[in-house]
Amino acid sequence: MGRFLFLTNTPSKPPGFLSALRDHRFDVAQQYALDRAELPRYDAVLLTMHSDQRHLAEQSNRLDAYLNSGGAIIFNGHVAHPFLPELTPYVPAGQRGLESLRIHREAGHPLFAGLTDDHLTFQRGVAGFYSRGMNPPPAGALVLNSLGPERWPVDWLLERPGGGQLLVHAGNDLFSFLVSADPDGLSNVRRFFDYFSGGADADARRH
Amino acid sequence: MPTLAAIDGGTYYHNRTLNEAPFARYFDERIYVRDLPFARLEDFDAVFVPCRLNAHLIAPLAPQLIAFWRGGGTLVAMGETFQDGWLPDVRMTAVETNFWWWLEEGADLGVRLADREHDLFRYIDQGAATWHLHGWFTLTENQTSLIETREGRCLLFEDRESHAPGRLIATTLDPCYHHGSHFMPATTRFLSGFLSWLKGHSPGGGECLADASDNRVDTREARKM
Repeated sequence: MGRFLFLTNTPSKPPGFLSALRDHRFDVAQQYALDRAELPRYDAVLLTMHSDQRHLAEQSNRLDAYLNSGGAIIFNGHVAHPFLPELTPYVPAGQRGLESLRIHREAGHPLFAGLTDDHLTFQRGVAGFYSRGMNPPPAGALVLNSLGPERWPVDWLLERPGGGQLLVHAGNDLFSFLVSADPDGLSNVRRFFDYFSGGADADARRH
Repeated sequence: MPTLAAIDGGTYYHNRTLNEAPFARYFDERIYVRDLPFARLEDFDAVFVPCRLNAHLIAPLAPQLIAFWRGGGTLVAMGETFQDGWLPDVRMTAVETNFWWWLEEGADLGVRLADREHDLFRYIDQGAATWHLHGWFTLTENQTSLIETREGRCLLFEDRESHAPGRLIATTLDPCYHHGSHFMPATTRFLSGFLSWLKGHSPGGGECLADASDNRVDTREARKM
């Protein structure tokens, strides 16, 4: 079982899978609880599209130290205030019809096992929800999914040389797409969090 | 020209709306939400609370915002800030958002301009207020509906009475979030007109919209063949 910290910055209820996915424990907190959270107890810290990135930038040293200690950070959204050395601001892609919005699976990685290009590209037959640009990846990042004919890197995973993992998704919260692409709603998110908790697919990440 | 301060919640969509072209020039000051207790709001004519600023953060700061309104300022509270939790006499009913209403040919979300003679509608038209709905207000006698549903449920109101010359404008529409996400061109048009109106610019906004041409994701062109 993994243990995760889900930091929210809205008054709305957290997504249902956090309580439904009983294989893992998710502690849900308002984002500013980060200042006093005991980060080493968590397999990963989840940051949503609604994150106050100015606050994350203030907490940059703590987040950096947490990664250096072997932690993982999963960031959703557009980088506006880079809060880790590997992050640079979001760049929107040009929009020229359907092909420019198509998502391509790149690496055959366990995080997205079982998901097709179409799963990520279309919601009710409409493209454009998953991602429309990139948070430019740093050198050494593994590109997991890309956008459009120019294959812009919309999802990437960085295994830091000094330890720690950083997963960055340039769009609305990734988890909702994993849930909606899944007949039973939980297999994709279970596999996703198994990976970060050293579960069944952990060997793959260690190469 | 009225001076306008915005509260910045530090999200990417606040950043794009408040700090980047084409709308940055409308804001005379941006106040980071956690610095708000130390800000002198009375230095400004209007204060803009952007879409989806966390209502948990606003609630303890509400007395300062309400005092600004009572002191003669224009307080603007945008959508998904759950105004009923921090503003007096605001009653809101949330609705389940239908993100897919437009999939049917000729569909009409039902957004209407309640008072076509109002000055705001020299700046925005019905199309610029149409993307989707999050909720509606039940009005008091001091609150005047400017944008509503076809059933007459209020989506944006103005209160010029309760604390005149202070003014409250509240809406359940959330254009900053969508504009800030480079999604839904109507929201960019809405902000162009709405902010021009708040700032007392002349109507038009053509220059502003030309600057926003990278924001034109039209989901109607993004459907699977």
